[in-house]
Amino acid sequence: MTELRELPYLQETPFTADHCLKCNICTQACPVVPVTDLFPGPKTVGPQAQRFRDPDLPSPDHSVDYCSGCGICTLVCPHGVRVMEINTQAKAQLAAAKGFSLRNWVLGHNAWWGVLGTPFAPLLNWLFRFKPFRWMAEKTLGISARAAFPTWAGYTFRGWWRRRQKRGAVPAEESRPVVVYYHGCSTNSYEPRIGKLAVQILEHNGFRVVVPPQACCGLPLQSNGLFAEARQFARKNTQSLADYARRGVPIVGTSGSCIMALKGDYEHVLGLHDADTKALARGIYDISEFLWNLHRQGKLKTDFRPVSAFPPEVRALIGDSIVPYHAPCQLKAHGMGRPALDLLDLIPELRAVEMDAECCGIAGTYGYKAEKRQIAEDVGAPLFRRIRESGAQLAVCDTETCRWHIAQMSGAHVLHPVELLAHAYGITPDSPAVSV
Amino acid sequence: MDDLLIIGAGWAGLSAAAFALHRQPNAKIRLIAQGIGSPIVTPGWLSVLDSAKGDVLAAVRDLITRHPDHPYALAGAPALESALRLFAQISTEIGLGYRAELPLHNTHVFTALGASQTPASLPIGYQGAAQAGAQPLFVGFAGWRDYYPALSGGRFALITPPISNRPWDLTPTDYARHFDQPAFCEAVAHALKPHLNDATSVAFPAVLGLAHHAETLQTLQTALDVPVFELPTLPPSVPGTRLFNGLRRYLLDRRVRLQVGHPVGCGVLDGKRVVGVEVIAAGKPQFFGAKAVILATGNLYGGGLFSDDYGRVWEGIFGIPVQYTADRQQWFNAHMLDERGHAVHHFGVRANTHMQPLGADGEPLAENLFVAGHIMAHPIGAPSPFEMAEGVALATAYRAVESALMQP
Repeated sequence: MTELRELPYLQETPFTADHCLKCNICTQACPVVPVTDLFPGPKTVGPQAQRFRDPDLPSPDHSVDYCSGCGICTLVCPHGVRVMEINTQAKAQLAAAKGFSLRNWVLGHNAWWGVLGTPFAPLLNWLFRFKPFRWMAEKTLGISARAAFPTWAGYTFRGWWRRRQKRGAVPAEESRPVVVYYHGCSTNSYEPRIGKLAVQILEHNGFRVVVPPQACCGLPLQSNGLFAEARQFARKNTQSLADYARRGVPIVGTSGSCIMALKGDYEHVLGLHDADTKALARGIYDISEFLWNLHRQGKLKTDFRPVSAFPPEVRALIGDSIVPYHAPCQLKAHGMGRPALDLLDLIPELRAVEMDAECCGIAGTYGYKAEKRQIAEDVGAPLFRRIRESGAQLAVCDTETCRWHIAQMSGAHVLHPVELLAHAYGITPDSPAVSV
Repeated sequence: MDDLLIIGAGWAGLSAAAFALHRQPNAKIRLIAQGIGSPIVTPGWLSVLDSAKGDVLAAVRDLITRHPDHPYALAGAPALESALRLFAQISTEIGLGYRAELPLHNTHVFTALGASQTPASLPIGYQGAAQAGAQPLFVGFAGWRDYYPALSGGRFALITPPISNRPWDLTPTDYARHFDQPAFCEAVAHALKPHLNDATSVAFPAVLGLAHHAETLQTLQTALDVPVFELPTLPPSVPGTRLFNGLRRYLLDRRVRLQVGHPVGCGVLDGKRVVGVEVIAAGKPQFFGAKAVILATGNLYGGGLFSDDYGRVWEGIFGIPVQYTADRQQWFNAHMLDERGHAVHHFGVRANTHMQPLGADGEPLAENLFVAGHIMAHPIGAPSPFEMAEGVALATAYRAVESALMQP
């Protein structure tokens, strides 16, 4: 076997195709292949089609558009081929050739809609649950009428943060070690409670949290093939955050997929190889990864209350059941194990079990596209069935669109790991703890 | 810190995790692998010593006396016997029913190219070969380039199963998913009946169901009223996928941490003890601490050993010295799959009877580092490692787990 580490140039995403043996391990593991005849599989559209792809020639294969970008192919490949990354780059080339798609542009720019929509939250929340509107959106834009949209919180995390700073709610102890919180778009506009809990959990563990200016991670743009704009967001983030990373200030985020974009996709998908990008990739952590590292150093506070001391509405949801945990595809791509599960194991009386199921199907914006909605539902069916069969009413998952999709399709309440940790610490946001 | 960290998700790594669970159900076990391992590219049956006539375990004991540094000799015959028994038990729990009754005898199985193989233990899909009778009918699917039944035997039938036209080739896994549906099985059986005549059994390529394999076999057997069995296909191997998927669920449900994706870059040692490993992960290396580590990364094909065109061969994670032939002329034997073996297949690391890999000085490299499976050297002159691949994987995994879980 060729040792990849010995041959740095072969680590460039397109060249990893040279390691492909055509064994089809990726095809048998791909969650999209079994549910549709429209996608021939990651090997066919990736390493196999790669030799026909020339930057100056039209794309040889349009079916790559049906790749959900979950990245399971890259994970299962024993030879080090970056299958998903090759396919995402091919998708971008295809999108450029096809020209402007209003729907993909809209889905790619969720960062804007989150913030712009905030003042109109009640209206928009009503509108997005008003069936004729969703029907219209499907017919005109191609955005699935069945997909679960998040609700605008009506305020942003950043707004809450500014008000909190102004109030001086937390004394600025300069001696405390600093962490940067990277909230991402979803926490900012739809689920500020997760950001509030994360900040308080970090403070509870003795840190001073700072929230510098930051942009969307760019993942929705990247998965819709809008690489130029994704790179603009990436540069904003590296400019704002790389310096912290260089100074050894950890950057901690609560969305497993956004963090993965900063950790890996900027380099391996968007092709950014500058020093800032590398420094940021090294210095950014998923929150569970960060807290578990603290625990390994003996620095995590473990004053966890048992489940029996949780608020009654949460206790009722957990009951006597196991808590199913779904490790999202993009979280698996970190290569950091399952730190959320490791942390949940510290909570007395909680029994979290990782579900043996691959992708939930939503894959970011993929499942919001009308023509791919059925695929997204069918891909996740084994996971939804496992959760239902477990009898659990409460499940855990680290990324937002996965949570919303699993909740909609399985009927369970799906929380971010920090929500359960917060219950165990006795920390509440100033909104209801379980927004269900 | 984990009680046991296993590197590799092939036959040896996956079995080691399952064996460790049986020994210590509450142990914290983590399995790390770069990609899915060997089961998906092997037939999915269990070769212990294919050339053995009569009692296979007796033949292995004989091999052990002739080659005292053979992996079987290091693990010991009792480890092989216990491993086979435990594997059969676990495989039954996951619905695959590998048989390992003693005395163990090799059984004749058919292959896609009409050759005969003699593994020792079979999952249920292959077991029907024993009742093949004089006139097995080999069935293929019209237009499927992965399998052509006329190459398997004289009596064959090509049927056109009810699959919508797709503009690309189907993989064995695609067919297997179709066979998971009872209506599809019924339709296949219906299409096949006119071809049956006086066939004594029916052989299919190994695609008879993925998640509902046992039910698929039953449905076809009932509908056709003769024994039904499978032949291995080109990769990806469906019997191997069933095993991988079955063991994955088995391990996850029992709270083993299973992380397939990123390779282990290096081991971290403190003197003569391994304290953990570093995974080449996104952004930065990730450290995983463990009380004991089992290295089951395979040989040159599996990704455990590396080579270059200067004729060097090395182990990639701990830098364990490899026993190999430096003369590259011998790497290019014209008979790659020669039954007498091929020099490169015998390359590997040396170990003692605790499965501790040995350093250049012949002493264990670290007291809590163990090896299992194909990464182990086979003595030159011993039979081909291929005719005992799974048996060696299971025996050495069993022995490595025994040693590893005794670590403080």
